[in-house]
Amino acid sequence: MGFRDMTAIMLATLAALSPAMPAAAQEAPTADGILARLDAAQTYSTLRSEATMSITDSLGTRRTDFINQARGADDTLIEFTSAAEKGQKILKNSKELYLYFPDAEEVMRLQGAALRQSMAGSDISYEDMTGTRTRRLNYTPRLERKEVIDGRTAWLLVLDAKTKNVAYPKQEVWVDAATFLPVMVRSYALSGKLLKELRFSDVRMAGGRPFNGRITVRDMMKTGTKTELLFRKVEVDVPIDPKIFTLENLSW
Amino acid sequence: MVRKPLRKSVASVAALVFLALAAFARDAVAQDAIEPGADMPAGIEVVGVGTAPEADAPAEDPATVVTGARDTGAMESRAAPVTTEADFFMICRRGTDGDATTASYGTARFSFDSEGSRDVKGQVVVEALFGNAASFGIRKAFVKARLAGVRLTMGKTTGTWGEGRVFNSGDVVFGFAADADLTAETISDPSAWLASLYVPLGDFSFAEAVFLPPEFPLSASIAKSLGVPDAPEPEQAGLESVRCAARVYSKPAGVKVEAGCLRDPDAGTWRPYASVQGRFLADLQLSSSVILPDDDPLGSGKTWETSGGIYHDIALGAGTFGLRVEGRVRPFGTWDASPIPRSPSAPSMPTPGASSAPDPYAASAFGEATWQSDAWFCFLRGLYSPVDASAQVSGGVRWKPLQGFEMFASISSNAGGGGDVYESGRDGGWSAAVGSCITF
Repeated sequence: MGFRDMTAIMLATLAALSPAMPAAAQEAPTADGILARLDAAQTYSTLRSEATMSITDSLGTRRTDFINQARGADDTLIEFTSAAEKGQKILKNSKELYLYFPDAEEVMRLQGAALRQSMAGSDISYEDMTGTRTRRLNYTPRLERKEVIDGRTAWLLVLDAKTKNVAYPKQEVWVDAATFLPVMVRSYALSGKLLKELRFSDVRMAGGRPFNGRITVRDMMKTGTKTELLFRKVEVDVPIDPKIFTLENLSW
Repeated sequence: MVRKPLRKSVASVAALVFLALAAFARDAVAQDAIEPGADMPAGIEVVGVGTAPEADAPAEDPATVVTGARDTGAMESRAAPVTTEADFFMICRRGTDGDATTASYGTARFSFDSEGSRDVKGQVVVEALFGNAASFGIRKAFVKARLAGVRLTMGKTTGTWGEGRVFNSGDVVFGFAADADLTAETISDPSAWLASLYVPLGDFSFAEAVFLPPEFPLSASIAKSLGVPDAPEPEQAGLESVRCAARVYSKPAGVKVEAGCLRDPDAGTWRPYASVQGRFLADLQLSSSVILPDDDPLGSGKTWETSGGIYHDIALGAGTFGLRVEGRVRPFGTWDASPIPRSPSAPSMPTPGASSAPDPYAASAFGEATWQSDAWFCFLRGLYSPVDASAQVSGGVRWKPLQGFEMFASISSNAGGGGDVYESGRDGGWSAAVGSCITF
């Protein structure tokens, strides 16, 4: 076999393999590129999941079940199904967040500082739900280094907010180098004080795409508490009636 | 959650209610049966479902389903079609003769939910009050259906028109409950029998029309049919007694705008209202309404009233500190204080909060400071009548140490002279309560 033949075979082999190669290997690891892939990895045309939120503090653990439905980068509807919070809903779109309390049949629009309130007594605030899939629009990324964290090789991005309309002026995000899913997120106040830490684990496949099946959240302003989200059932790219992201459905 | 105890008991309908509920609950459980093959953690029997089946989901597009590792050692609290919420109170309060009196009693709410499909749902909520006897009432009993993009609601339910926690001049349909309790988590939650048509006008706008027929006098009817001596004759209401109202709700430029009108044929009045809510440094809201008699369609404006409020909260420690101030003004109302005659009938039940007379004056104010964290809720609330310079102040704390279990304590007192809205010397002029609440 001559050199030309060997070259042809190698090129053909590369061409055949290339579609299966991870996109990560094909792109230069720029900070902006990684951030774009992070947003994309967490955005689905539609997503429906059933999950349990476990809130642990010094008194023990409380569990709350909910159903999460999402569309694109902005729209999310959460409906609690456990007895104590049954029927309560949270609707979020790109601009606003609404709560629905079925007992009073009352819709409440959360704005401003009220978004910092804890969601169902957890370590998660309502504003933590906003902007997690649109970081590229709101933050300027800086690539720090590549390191292994929780057994996963990850890029560390430091994000500085472009606008004041975000929950945290600074974030550190460890992005899985293979899946571009978040591995860990640390959110800071303007003073540099660490406010919140999120760890992501239990990667599984949903609709052919990797998905973090477990998220552990710690509010660093509280002592001895943590909130764990366990996604029991995930469906992606399933038909979801667009009307569920409306005020009518929220108050249904 | 702490709720107001019932003041109106309908003991005579208890048997009928339970018969109806038994049938309702049986149907609800049957409809909510778990589908075969549903994914369950080992050893856990799930007795209800949380969502309606996705009727529109096409069968030919089965998405990948991820069933994550289950925490099989933990008990999952799936929603059941029946939810029970029970409060137990121990109360010490000022009695009619000025001495301290004590009482203990409980209240409960049994909520029976039924959701046959994603476009039909029903709920019956029975309220019970129990001491050395029990009485029952219906807080909610309704069915909702979505047909051709329009939502129909029939039955007894609650809702909010206008804006305002305590003072809401825009709530022309439900109004402010006469038995509002400053120590309760929900200060006022009146409900009404109605038929409603709700038409969405885009994702965050809608129009709604409601018809409010008088409540059927069931207890009087039953008493009459049973031959109870001196039973009152059930009052028959004509079509002219059906009140109706309509409103439009929208959100232009991020500001919630609502406007509507109530027609009361019995009173021969129209009551238009408008309400706005938005944010400028803090949450702001304003509502206004006026009652226009048929014989004075332009109105003298003497019944005009306006309420407004401001709310702001900040992170404080491990929780959130919130501050709310509301006020209501009736410019053509009574600005001169005069003694308010006491109601001849004392409250039938001791309530956790202090009692007051109906406020007849032109100006009223409400203030609230709260701090809440994951497990704690502390509040200080006050109602103030600037015309007679009397006030009611309530403070309390709620602690939620376990899921579905809450303990609470509150004190409430009036500060006012004889004949004032918040008269110190009236029955229930001060009150202290401790209690607990379970939800399961």
